[in-house]
Amino acid sequence: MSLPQRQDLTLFSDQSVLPRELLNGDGHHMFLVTSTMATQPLWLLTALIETKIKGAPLSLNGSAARRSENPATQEMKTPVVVASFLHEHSFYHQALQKLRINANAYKVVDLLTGFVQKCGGKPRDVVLKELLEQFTPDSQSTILIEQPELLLSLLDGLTSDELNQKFLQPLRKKCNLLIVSSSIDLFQDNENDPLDGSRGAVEYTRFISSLIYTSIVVMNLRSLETGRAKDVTGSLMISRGGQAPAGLSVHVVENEYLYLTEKESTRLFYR
Amino acid sequence: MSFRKRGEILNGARAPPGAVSRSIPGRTIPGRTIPSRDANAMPNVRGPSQVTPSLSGRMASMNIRGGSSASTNAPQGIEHGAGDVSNVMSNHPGIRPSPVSATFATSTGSSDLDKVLTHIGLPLGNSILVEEQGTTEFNSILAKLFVAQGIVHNRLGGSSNTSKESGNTHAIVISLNQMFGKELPGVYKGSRKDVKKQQISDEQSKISVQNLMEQKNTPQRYKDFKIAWKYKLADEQKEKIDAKNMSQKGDNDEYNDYSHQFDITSRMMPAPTNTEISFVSPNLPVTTILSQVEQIIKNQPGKLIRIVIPSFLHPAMYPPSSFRTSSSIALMHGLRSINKLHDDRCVIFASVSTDILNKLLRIQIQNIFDAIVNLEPFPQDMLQFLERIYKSQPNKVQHGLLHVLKLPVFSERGEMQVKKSEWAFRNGRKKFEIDEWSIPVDDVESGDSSNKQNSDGASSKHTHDDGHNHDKPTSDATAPKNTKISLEY
Repeated sequence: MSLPQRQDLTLFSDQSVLPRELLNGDGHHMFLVTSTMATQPLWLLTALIETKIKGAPLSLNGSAARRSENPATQEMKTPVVVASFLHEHSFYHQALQKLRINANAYKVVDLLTGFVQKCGGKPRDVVLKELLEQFTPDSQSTILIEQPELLLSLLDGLTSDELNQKFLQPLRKKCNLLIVSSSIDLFQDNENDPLDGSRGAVEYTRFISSLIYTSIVVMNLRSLETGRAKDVTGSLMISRGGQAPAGLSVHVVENEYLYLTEKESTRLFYR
Repeated sequence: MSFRKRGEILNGARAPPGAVSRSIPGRTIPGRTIPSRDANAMPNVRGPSQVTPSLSGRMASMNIRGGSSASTNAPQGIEHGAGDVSNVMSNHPGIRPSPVSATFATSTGSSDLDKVLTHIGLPLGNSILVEEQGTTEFNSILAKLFVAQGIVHNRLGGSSNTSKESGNTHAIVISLNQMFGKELPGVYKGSRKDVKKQQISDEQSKISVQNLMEQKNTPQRYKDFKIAWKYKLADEQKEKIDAKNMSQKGDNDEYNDYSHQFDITSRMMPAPTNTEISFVSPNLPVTTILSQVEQIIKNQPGKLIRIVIPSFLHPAMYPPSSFRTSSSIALMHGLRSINKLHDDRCVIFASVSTDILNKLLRIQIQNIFDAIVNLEPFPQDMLQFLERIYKSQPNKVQHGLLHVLKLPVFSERGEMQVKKSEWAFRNGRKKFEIDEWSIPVDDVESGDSSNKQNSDGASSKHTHDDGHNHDKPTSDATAPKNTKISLEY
């Protein structure tokens, strides 16, 4: 049986992933990528970085790869910062190296190594301030941050509102586009394993909800409800977030793809 | 002419330090060379040292993975210095390349778990979490196997009890249980019969006048009893097949000492010392635990570090404050950070009972690990069912299901690797076995029911014969029931 036709990833009505008017504007936008531990988002995050640096997700889109020789697709070269609370510097460096992205085109901020030792005993405000200082303000830049919700667990007493007001909102103001990657395993299988009403669970729920409301695009990766399959890894659902893309003539196109990740490459199909 | 007693050992199996292996002049006895006990004492030997094949063979089995080239070429008696760090790791018997990714892996102590992880082990710089549902303690077996495997590798690497520099592996156990090291299983040496045979052959291999007189180049079984001539032919054929197999082994020989089989009813002798295993109390503040772990790693340069957290958050060992995410997640996050910092020589194993965790804490802990397996022991009625089915084969009774939730390297790439109810585990004396799970066929029940149906059919036929003659419908009704398939469905 032959595979279904490969599809290109598009998020906006102009058939693009990152519209040029979004990247060239003065706004501060946010994308949200939600995932589970069964469907981790590395391929999608690297594709978004690739889009920002090379102009198109060449690793995902076959047609974009064919057009990549066109110099017009090489124009968008603005700084990209990748920060992760879960992965070390070399993890993203190796992943982007496989996509042949020049290491000078991005910067990795390692928020994993030594974080607990550095922040042990410090007040929450000081820790959040020091974290913010690691990002240089640039109105044209893109910042990708992985699992900021871990701060709710790592910093004693931190609330969702504090995290939003003292870290994420100032971070968004420092860049043109903030891409947040969050894990939503906590909200899976609620029928059999419901969340309790503990303070921690409430703060997590509030934080993820606030991310959805402040994003213009939500990309949700999840596994098939029927379980594991050889020819499908999971589904990618693209939906509009709570925030409208103000000042843009394009709009988000809601869509759902099936995708297959194997041998370090990913292909998208329509559902 | 000597006047020794017939049973007296001429030169004990344990040669004194510094002695070189030697054979009796004029008498070449295959396989009867005396190994030197301490290769480091070689420089004390006067005159040109004559290293016999037995010595180099022992050296090869002690330290060098795969072969003798490094050991035979190296000058005898030279210890690993501080500058020899990379050499120690590259020659580590417990490290091999993963067949499915560009990483190096080390064995977990259970060869079946190694296979489930698909890398033939746990890739360096990765962590594994073994979760267990219910109140059973299978996870502690895996934790002990993990540490025991490291200790065995360390001793293969020439560890001595006194020198910190010797050896190639160090275990860090974050636990209050200081007896953990003394509870480690010993290497499986075969069945009791095999062990006795080995003891007898060891005794007979010692060089004594009596043994020398009795020594002949014939297999041991020829001396035990008289056998028919055809058995001798069978032995010769077996020898040929063995020789052929030995030549075909090829690369597999290179990783002979990679994974070992452990007997959980025995104890590791001698028990690991503080040069092989370090304990860190989980009751300390998180930053103190992390700095202690970091310090131990720095004090063990060039060694593979196995960090083990057995029964994480066990209420008997951890204070209630540890259940706060700011404590437990911070500890795990810090350990992950250390693991990734030393990703060329560090692995983490943790086990936890999921019944004591709420969903938030469980998901957060799972999020931090690279590999997760979940043990779901069978309930009592399922075990009774399996015991009834495998009445004649008690070794086949599995103890529970093993679910894979994450696999190292693949899951973080984005591949969907959740495999629920595909594997079943069984904890035996000599192995923690993991097999593919399939629901067994209840032959006993089907047999009983078929007998019952047959007897019902016969009785009904009998009554019908008495009254009316309805042979055909009766046979139609009973015939399909005699087949196994019809009974199953």
